[in-house]
Amino acid sequence: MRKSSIFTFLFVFLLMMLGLNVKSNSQEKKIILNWWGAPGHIEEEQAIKEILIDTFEKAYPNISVIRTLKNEAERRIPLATGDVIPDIVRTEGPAFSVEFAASKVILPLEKYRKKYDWDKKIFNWALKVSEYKGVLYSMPLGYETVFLWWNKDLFKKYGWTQPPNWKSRPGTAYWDDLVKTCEEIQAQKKIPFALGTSGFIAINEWWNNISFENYAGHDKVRSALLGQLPWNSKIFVEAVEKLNYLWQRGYISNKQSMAITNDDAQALFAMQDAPMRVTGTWEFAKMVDLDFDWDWIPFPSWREGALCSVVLGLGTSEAINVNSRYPDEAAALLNWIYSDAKRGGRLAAETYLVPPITLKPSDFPKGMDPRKTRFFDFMAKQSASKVGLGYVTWTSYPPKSNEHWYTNIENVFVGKMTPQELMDGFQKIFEKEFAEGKVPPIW
Amino acid sequence: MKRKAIAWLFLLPALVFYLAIVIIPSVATIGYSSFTRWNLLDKPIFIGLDNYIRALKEDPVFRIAFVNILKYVVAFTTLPMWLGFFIALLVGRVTKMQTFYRVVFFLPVVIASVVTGRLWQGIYHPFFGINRVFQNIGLSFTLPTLASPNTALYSVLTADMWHWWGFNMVIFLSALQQIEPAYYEASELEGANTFQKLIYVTIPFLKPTIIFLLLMTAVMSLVSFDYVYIMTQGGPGHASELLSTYLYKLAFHNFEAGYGSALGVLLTLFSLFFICGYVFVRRKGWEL
Repeated sequence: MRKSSIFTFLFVFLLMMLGLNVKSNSQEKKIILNWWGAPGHIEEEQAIKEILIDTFEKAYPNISVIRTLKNEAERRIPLATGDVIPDIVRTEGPAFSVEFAASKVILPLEKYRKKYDWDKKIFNWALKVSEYKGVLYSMPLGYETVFLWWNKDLFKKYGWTQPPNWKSRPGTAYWDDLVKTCEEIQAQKKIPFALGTSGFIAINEWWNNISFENYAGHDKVRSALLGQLPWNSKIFVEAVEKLNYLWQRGYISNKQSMAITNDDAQALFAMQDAPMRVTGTWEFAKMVDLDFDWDWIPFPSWREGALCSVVLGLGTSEAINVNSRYPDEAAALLNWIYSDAKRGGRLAAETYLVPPITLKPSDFPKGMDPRKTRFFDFMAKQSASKVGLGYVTWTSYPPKSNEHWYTNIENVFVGKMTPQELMDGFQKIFEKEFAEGKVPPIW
Repeated sequence: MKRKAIAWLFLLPALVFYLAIVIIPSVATIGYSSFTRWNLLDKPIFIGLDNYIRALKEDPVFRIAFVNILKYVVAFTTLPMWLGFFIALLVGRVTKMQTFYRVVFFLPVVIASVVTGRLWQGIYHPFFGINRVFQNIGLSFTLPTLASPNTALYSVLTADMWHWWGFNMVIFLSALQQIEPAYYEASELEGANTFQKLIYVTIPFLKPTIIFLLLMTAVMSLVSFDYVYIMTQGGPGHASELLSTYLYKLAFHNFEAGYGSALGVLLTLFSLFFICGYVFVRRKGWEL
């Protein structure tokens, strides 16, 4: 009895070892891809897993993707130390990818660009801005823009002129109606624009995009980014003066934008204390739940001749670690994002990521908010037309110049710096970054 | 000799750990990065003392951050110290529910800074916070708090000190309870009143604790980071910038790790000033 027990035990043990061995062999063959992103909303992250990662793993059974969320500083450390993990790393946009590419810590992607025919799939501007010295280094995971969002119900209730009806006048464009509407809103003891930068000072740059593109105009901004027009020239100083005018009159968060957060600003909009917001399309998810009628519009021009149909940018870029053991598999995962319009449509509908590919209305899930559907249609047309496509600062401006602007605009607001001084400083830093090749390619 | 070797053997794990996470990075910061132009990704380029010259001569933000840190140290080594001391004296006299008061006053110390920061942001909120209270009681002004460069730093300081003073109180209370009651009885026999007992008995006995807490508080305030970063990110402009927040932005956002390291070294040197003072007083037997 005792002998048979020992044999039974040994037999079971051998079987277990055999099983473990089979399992470990299969695990050895499985490639683990590490993909590091930024912390965000849990629901959106879950959607990314379902739409991208799960389907990819199903299509590539020998690859397993581990998605880890790390902050900006944490994501840079393994690149600095030459670690093999992560395989794919998020950068804060092409302006930051330039620094990574110059330091040779991310992989050139030209080989994969040809292999997967990305030029045919992805919007040309999105690929171009992701290049460094003519070579593609990062992939545009999601594109975005900054809009004027307004509360249609509140505008109707008080009889304010709805933004699409603001009149363009010679010499002033829509500026007069903008100011008149703000005055009327204030008369009702409401705040025209909700903005909150406390806790994330870079939010100021949303208004930078508006003031530069809508007052100076797309052509002037383009010339300045190409180094042909100094940033401290009169037109840009005037653009800052216009923005400062809005702020000093209390039109923007009643001069309290530095004391409230972006969530607070959204709360002001949601509670109908502020009928307008300037924010990005990544906030669609917050808008769809509002219990009043709202809509979006590209911010109307502030000056006659200042042509800008919409500003375009990439909030998320993905690059491959130069030390990755699986660059081919990492590229396959990146390609997965662009290889199916239906998948792209679902991603755009359920997350903040809008793949820069042509998406037709039939690509989106049924029941999507029509204002969001209209947005995708609008963006696809604008991307294709290339007329008046403006630049968002976090994509097309070099990082130190940008940081100078969004930090020191607050000094302008509180009277510690003049618009001229702000732009003189901006020009000085830009000149240096321009000489170092830190300005992303301009379309 | 053998006993010494065994002692070193026991110390070895801690020593290795300390070397790896404190000494080597510190030496690397001073020698490897603070004298270089380094973006954290590429190979550093040696530039001698340029980073230090830039900080001390050319960088206006460094000056703002340095002055702000001085204000932080002065504020932290006064108000929370006095408050901690006097509340400890009061709580020490309480016989009933003393633990309750200790817990209540100590509670802010253990709350995560991000929670406290957000809580105070709510209090300072121009539309819903304390200003709404003012409006409700008929006062028509708006407290500028975080939106004004004149008040932003002090608003953050208030939140930070609120979180810290309870720590001082608990340490003072523990020290007070170490004083032998016989000393108070003797002074009473000599006819000392409450104030005289405080001056001639309590404070002399608390001197090591006071100096220790002063040092601790000064050094803690020098490396303050979280409240400013959570509540203002150094703004408006750079009005509430501290050296720690500034060097973090430089190193991890602006790709200027070399310059950020130089600021870190300057901050350490400034901390050493306080530590040397502490060591000096300690050697003197706590006599100032």
